[in-house]
Amino acid sequence: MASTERTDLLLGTLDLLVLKVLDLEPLHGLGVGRRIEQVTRGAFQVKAGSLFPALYRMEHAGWLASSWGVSETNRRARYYRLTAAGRRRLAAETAQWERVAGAMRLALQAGD
Amino acid sequence: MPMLPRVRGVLRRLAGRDPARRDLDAEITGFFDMLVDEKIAAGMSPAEARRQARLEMGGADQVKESVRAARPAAWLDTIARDVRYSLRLLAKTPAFSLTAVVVLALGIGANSAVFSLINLLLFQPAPGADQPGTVVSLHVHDPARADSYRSFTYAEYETIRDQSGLFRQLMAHQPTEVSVTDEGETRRAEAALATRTYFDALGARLVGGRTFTIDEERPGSGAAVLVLSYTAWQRMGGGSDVLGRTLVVNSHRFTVIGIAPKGFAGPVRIVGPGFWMPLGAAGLITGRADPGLMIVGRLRPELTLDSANAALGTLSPNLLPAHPAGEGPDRLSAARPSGLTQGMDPSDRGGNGLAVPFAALMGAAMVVLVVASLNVANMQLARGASRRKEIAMRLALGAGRIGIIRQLLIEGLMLALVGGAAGLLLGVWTMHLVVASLAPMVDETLSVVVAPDWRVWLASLLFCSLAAIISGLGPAWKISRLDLLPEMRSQEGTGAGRDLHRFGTRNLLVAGQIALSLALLAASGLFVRASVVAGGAEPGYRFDRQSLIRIEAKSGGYDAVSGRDAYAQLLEHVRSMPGVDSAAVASTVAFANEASNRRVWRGNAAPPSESKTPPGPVAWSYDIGGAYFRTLGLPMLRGREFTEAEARDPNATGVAIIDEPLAAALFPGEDPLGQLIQAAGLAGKALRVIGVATGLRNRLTDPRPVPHLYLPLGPHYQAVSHIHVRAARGAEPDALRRRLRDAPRSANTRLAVLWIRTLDDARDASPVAWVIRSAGQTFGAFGAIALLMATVGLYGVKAYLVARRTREIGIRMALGAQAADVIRMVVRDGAVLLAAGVVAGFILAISAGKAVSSLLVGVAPFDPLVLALATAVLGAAVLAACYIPARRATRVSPVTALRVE
Repeated sequence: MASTERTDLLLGTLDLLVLKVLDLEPLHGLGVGRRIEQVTRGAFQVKAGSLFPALYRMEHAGWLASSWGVSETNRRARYYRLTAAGRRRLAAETAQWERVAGAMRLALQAGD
Repeated sequence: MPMLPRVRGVLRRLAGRDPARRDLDAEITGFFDMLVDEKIAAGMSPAEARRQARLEMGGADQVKESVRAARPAAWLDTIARDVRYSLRLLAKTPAFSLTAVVVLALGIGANSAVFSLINLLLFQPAPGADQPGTVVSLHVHDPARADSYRSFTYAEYETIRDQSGLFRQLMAHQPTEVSVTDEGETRRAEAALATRTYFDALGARLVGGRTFTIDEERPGSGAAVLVLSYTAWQRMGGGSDVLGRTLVVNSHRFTVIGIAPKGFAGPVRIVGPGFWMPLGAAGLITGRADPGLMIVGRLRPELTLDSANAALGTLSPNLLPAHPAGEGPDRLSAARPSGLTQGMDPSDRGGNGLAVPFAALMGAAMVVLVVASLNVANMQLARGASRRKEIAMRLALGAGRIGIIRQLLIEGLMLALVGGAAGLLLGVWTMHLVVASLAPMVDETLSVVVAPDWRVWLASLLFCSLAAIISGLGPAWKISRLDLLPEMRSQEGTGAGRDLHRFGTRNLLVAGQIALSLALLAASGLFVRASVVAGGAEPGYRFDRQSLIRIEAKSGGYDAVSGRDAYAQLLEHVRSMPGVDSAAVASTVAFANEASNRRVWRGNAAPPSESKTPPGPVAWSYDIGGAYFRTLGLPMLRGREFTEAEARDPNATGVAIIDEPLAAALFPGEDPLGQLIQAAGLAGKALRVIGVATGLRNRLTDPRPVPHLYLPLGPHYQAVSHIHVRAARGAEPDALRRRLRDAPRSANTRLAVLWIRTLDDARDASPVAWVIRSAGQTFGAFGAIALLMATVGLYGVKAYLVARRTREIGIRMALGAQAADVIRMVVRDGAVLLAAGVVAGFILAISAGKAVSSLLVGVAPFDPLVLALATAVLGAAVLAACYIPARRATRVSPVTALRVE
């Protein structure tokens, strides 16, 4: 089966990705997975077995809220959206990620 | 999350009804459907789309499981699942479950009962402890002198109450004994004189009526009112019309004005006053308007015991009157009341002597619990053998070993919890028995609420967990360690080969039970023997034909002068009665609960002060009348008894009788007759020794005669005394008893008979006898339970092993073995177990005997008879438990045996 090169999700990155894609609009579970695939150009494929636990955990932490709705194909689906706490979390995690990423880049370029 | 919804959510999840779970189902289904839609839209056939969707998503159950595991407190779901699974399994094997529950109930019940008792005496907070402010007792002493703690006067109480500023509430009281006459019957009862604030300070709210007024409290008021204890009220019928009724106390008519709450015993627990009277009634009750008082107070909430003590240190000179002789001032201090005793000296806390018996009781109960748990462990192992397939299946299906162990432990905990609930009921019921057996001794002054409080619940839960761990962990470990393939393939029988090994786990468990049971049996044997010894104990004279009348003078309105005459009149009358050989008065009786002692020393010169007496032996002090030793049937060793004149004369000081042990201590190698001695508390008067009596024991716990000092009763008149009566040979006991009960009336006196008992009965009614008797019963019961469980456990193992060996036994018999050979073979294995258990048990029994030796009266800690008897009983039970299954096995015909499987 032809597939793009897949990257294992770094620990903790899934939360950030979920927060990021939900920041744009509320999505159901499949939508979140597909949007992550789309924005990372297929680098990250999130399995249901990782996605749903993350969604439940983050909802319990108060970063997400959810409600039942109807999908594009007329299926009952649970839609997740960011709460105010989730938005703050997104900002904090983004900043943190950028610090880490910047530091990594510096470290990797040090030899050049 | 607020608390209530959270609790409700947890409960729902435990019950397996979680709304989030159904939500999740719908969500996963929707996810799958959308996935399929997506693939159809991309051009796949519906069947192919579903296949691909399933591949991409993974199993729906795995997804749900991973979500559940990610949710907080996911372990709750796991536990809940295990609990449900365990309950289902246990319900499937009701015989096993019931047996295990009964065994654990006995083990846990024994512990709950013992703990309830300890809790009642030591841990339950003092009454009113739930209210703000620490309850403290106040003490006063001269720091410059040892043993100088004294009681307070009313004036001191008033000063401290009004000027110290440390207390929210302060009360003063003085326990005393009174004679209560009700419908012609007089009885003695504990009572207390108390201030108006008594009940408030202790946080007790009367269930009816009122407490005292400040006018009634004032010394000399003569207010004849009283508050009843709850138990005394119940004894009087428990009606609301009791208020306003009159009771005759010490010949004065008192009006009932209030009823104390249930379980309230004043500052102490369990046995407290039956009646409370205002301090103003002190003159009517004790003859002194201002009796020595003890003070208890509730500190202001911001004060601790330490800060209060510091404040009392600086305030003492202002609060206490100056010493007359220019000595240093007395000092006030506060202490936490012990709840067991109330005394002037704060270091006298009572309960010190309780540590050893309580440790022994708790230890014995723990042994019962361990034996019970080992027993259940054995049953679990037997059951485990038949569960191998089920567990192998679960392991094969991916359950972790930890998961299996956890489930097995939870199964054990379920059993222990049900057993614990039954055990708690058993414990409470036992406590009722204990209280019922106490009641005859203390009657209306017994104030106990025998409902388990949170400490008892918690302790019982702890016992349950302990039982679950002891009974479950080992078997769970063993059962979960399986070789998968052979187990799943196997038929009944393989894998059991290990169990046939003589010292397999199960046999070790049985040997352990035998050892523990032997130790417990031996210990209980010692206690039973001690109670038998105590039951027949005599202080040094024969109890044969001896009876005792307890006489009381106050209810007849006698004072010291007229009372002395009345006693003489009664005694003369009793001596003249037909069927009476001899009679004598005595203040104190051997083996009774009340006795006082004095230090005795040689010499003539008065000591410089009452507190600076020379050293000397301490002797029990008896005030006796004439013909005392003759009545007891004891000849004088030297000299003579007191004459009637000496015994009756209020000024007859100057003579004393000592006994052999005291003579040996005071005058070694000399003739004591005619020597001068002095004793503490006798105002420095010298006493001439006029006689030497046989040495006697004073308390049931004395192993040998102890020093006694006998003084003439005359100068030491007491309102309550005893008359020893020795019946003539052949006198009819019942008729004599009737005549004695009527003696005060027929002698024309108003003296009251509190009770008439034979000396045997009087001894058995004493608290010490009760303790020894109860210990014998309790340990006996524990020993019997342990023996029963060990025997049943062994029987179970043997029956199981023999059943497994049916085939082998069949072959042996087919090859010509006799039934006797087979029985011998099985019993021999049992005998080996017995021997191993007995050897270990002997070691345990001897150390247990040493540990409890201080509680044993008249019995050596290593008693060969007890050990031999315990071993014999245990051995017989063990061999019977082996013999029965062995015999059954020989009845099987070889053909049937060979056809097994």
